[in-house]
Amino acid sequence: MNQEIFRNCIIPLRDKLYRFALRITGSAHEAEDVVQEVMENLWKSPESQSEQVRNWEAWSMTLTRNRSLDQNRRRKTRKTLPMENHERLAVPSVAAQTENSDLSEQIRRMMQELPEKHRLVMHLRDVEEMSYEEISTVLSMPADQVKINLHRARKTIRTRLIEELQISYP
Amino acid sequence: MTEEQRIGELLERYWEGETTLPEERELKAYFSAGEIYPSHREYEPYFTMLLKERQVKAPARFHVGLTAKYWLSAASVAILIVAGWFLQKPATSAPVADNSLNKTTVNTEIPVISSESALTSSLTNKPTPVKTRKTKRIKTVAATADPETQEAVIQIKAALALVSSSLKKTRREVSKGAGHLEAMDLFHKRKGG
Repeated sequence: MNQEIFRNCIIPLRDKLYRFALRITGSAHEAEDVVQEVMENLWKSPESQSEQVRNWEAWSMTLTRNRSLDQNRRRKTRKTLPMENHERLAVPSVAAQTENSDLSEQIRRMMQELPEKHRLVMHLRDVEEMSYEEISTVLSMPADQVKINLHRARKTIRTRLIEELQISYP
Repeated sequence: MTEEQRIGELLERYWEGETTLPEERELKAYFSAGEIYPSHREYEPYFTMLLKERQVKAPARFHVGLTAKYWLSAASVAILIVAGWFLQKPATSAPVADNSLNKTTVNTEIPVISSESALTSSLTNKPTPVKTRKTKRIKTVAATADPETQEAVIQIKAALALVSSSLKKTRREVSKGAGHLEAMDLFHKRKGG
């Protein structure tokens, strides 16, 4: 791969790729491995392949998705684990002590427990702010299916959020 | 329509999956600003969570790891080239055996030099402790090659010692360089915020 493309297009995506891998694998350690491999593969990819790629972000995200799903398949026995908080960076520690933060943490777990398609669509749209077309490319899913999955995911989270609030603050 | 109603309607459309990206950004900005209408408070933790998720960053060692790997690869290639050059040197300068010389079958006591001890002694100019083993081997030797062969062995030993020394030095340099890179990367990360 061209060094300039790697520096300008791939390296800035590092955090985004990591978050996506983290969402799929549920493990910070595995997400690190996935992103490392994806970046190495991109670096080693031949020039001829690089010329065919139009959207580096979508391409990198697709590679990350495939690699993360492979990782999950390899460890079939492992259920989706809650993400390790101690390895998560840049989260304000003061906010983590508030009630709101506790609830945010619960919602994050709710999101992690969603079916895979719902979870990934919701992550790409609500966290990474990607368009339906981009999500469609990354997940190899028709755009209308993306919308349906997003609607279902949000509906589930909303219902569970209201239930949680009724239990916590009746 | 009041602002509260407008946001409320936007929220309903959001949950139905009917909002556009700019509208969703507006909702996030509204919830992160802190001035939230009581009727919308129940959704604050959700939008707070989304904003927090976006702040998650990859560990800093990614970039350094990749760079260090390339440094190590480059260093390995350099070492191989240097080693190849040193090993090639005595072979080209060694006298070529004359085909017309007598070919004899001899029993020889071939010194088996432990590589580590040979390298150490080459560096310190001490005599090399050698183990010997008796083997019956058919060898084609030039009758007059003995002193030259010994000279060649000494040269090879010296070259190997030099390669070993270079290898250790390069290793030290590479690990030191990787450490510096890591420190620089961390420094820039912290500086960048």
